Amino acid sequence: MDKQRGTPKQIAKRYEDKVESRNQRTPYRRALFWLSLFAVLGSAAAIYYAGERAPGEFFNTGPLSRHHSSLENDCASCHQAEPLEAGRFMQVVNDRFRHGAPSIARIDHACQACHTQHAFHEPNVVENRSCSACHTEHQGPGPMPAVTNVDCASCHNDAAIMQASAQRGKQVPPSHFRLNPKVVNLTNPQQNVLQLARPADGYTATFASFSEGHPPFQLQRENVREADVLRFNHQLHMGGRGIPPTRAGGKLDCNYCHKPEPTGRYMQRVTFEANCQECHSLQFDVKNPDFQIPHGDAQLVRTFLRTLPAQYGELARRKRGITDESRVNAFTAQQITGLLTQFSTADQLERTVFFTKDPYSTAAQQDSPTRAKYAGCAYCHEVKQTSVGSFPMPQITAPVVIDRWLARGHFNHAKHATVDCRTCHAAESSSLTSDVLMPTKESCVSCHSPAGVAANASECMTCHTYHAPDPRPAGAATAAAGSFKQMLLSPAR
Amino acid sequence: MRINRAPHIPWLIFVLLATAAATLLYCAQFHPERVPASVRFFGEKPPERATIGGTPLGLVLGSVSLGIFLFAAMLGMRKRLPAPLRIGHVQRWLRAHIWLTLLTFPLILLHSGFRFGGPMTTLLMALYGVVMVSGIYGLYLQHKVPTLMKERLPAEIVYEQIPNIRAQLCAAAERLRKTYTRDRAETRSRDALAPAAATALATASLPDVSPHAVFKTPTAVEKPMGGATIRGTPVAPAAIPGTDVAEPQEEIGFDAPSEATLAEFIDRQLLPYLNARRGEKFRLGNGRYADDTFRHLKLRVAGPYRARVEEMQGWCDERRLLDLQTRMQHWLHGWLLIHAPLSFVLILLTGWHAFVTLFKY
Repeated sequence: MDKQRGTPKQIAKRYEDKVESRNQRTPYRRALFWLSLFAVLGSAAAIYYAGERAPGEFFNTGPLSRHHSSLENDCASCHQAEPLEAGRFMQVVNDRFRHGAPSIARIDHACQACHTQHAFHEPNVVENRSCSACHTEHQGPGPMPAVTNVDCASCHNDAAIMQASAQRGKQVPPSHFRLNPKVVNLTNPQQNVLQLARPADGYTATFASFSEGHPPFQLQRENVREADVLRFNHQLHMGGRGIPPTRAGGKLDCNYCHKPEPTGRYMQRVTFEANCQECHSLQFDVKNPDFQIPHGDAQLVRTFLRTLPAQYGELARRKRGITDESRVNAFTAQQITGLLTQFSTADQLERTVFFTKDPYSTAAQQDSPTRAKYAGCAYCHEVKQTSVGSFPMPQITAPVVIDRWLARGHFNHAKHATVDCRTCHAAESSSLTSDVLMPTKESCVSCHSPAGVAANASECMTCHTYHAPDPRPAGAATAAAGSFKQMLLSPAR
Repeated sequence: MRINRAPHIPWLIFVLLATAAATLLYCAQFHPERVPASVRFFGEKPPERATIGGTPLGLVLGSVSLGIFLFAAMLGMRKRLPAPLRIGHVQRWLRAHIWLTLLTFPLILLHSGFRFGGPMTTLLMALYGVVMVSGIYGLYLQHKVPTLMKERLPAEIVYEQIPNIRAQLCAAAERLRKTYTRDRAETRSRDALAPAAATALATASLPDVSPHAVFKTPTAVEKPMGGATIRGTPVAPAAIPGTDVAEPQEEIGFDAPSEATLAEFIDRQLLPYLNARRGEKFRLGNGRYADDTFRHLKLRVAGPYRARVEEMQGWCDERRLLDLQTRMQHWLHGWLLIHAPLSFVLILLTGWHAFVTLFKY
């Protein structure tokens, strides 16, 4: 400080008779006061005005997605004032700071006004989230941004939430957990879905993404085996010796039996008639290639065998063009006589057809125009023997072909058309019927990961669906298809 | 407040560290590919969304910024609190005000995700920009103007006393003017020059025309200013309003033309200048012109009156200094007229922005 001016006290002493002027409001102070007051009052008025009358565009952070573009000028259809209570204040603040979005907000009710039948997640969810936590609007006129891994990981990568969810899941009746009808069509009787029992803790493993910590598929985790009793050896069919070429001359490959549905999403069910019969003919009489026992019903087969004379007569009339009854009878007698050279009695024939695994193994070497190699029902099927009177009654366990093995995730074969089947399904090395040839999680991750070729399809939503099935009466969903165990225990068809 | 002082160094380090930490958190959260794996605290990158401020980290950054805004606004309250309630030295508050508000710059940028958003947030950003620019400009002026004042003002006085000093100058001039309006007898008996002035006239020097002064203006140092020479010119006791006039002890010579000249000068130039609200508009407000004017005036009056002329010249110099100090004070604090009101607007609108985004959307 300048010595000439002295200390503040010395300076003040010069004006000690005018000290009151120190506290006088100078024009500058008055201006500052009034400007500040005007600013505060003006801001308050502006806030009030904007809250009451300002166009919604003032707060608009961006255009709506094309699905909601009709609401572009109708902000109130989604955004409505909400009374703020003390308890709710803390709840909202807590939700916002933890998850970036409130739990169930008023805006969600506006969503549900249009998106009806849109239930939330699984029954064991500890805390449902706001729609806008995952579905973000005002991002531009295109489609709404897809839900990402992070949205799912906000819960599934939180050990505390998952633990609480597991605990809650134990208190929820198992019937409340259903497979998602958007993923599997449980009402389609032509589609058998593998429904594994829910784990004790539910699906509450903690992980960040599919490539980071996602648990193995429940199939592999529980080492599920194919429970079907229909015998089939993939290894043998795909490369084993003795497999003749197809009628088209090609090698038997996956596509010969496994054909996609019209949508291309899943595969059609393999049937005997469409896929097996060409090689596995039911021609039990080597002399009559077009005389075959029916397939699909043991009782019908038994009836067929017990009415062979009539069946031969029908063959003579329809296939051979014999109209004269005497000649029909002669034809029938001739065929029956031929059969008797192989089977001493009708019972023996019936036993052979049902219970012998390969009744014509010796005849297989014969050159037949239909490549007949009837191997007997028991060659493929499980044929049980029940006694009815003195004669054993055959009972064939109906095969249950599983159409959907991974019932908790979407899959689309059409999108994987460029991938060789054997990349995911280890069929060439599978020789056991009980082998489950579903791809492992590691197999999927090799492509569906940030470092894989399908990095852009490695989100949770690629396979899973967040929203739970629409509420229906309990049991309605499972009644259609029944459990896997129920299907296996169903009586023979 | 100048920031080239040692107490600011810890604040500078704190702001730099806080900025680095906030940037690191931001990158770890929103651009994990740009940071080493060891500092990826948040795992996977969140979804690409425009509202980074709505994420937990964005909310933390925004909340800290709002907290700093509120703290910064408390500086004015701190100055007005009664002594027992004042917590901390005002200089510490000012340092915190400066550095914490500077810290909001990176915090706000990170909170916004380097986007302006919609009209509401754009308005907020513009408001924030004006407040910050005005504050930084004020900080610059706080550095520059005191130096200028020290250079150009030989004796700075308390700003609030300037009207008081100006009133005293006017009163002195009016008092002097009255001495030339009374009748000669009264003038000769009461309004003669002070003895010291007579002595000064005799010795052709005027060290102090008012030895009985009880009040002195602080312009005591000779310094060049606008071409004029400022002299220490205490105000005569007769000029002090409300004080007793010192009785003349000795009568000096009387010259009617000189007194008429001085009276006319006081009426036409001196009093209008001293009474004016803004002196720089007057010719006497120009130091060079004032020098010429008073030099010419001296030539027009008799020798005994030249001390009065110099006394009047001292008043004008004093008035020019007061005007200069006023202008500099306006520069020094005028920016607050923008900064402070807009800061209040910013705080209110930011609070509203927080409320609307948290509770309405």
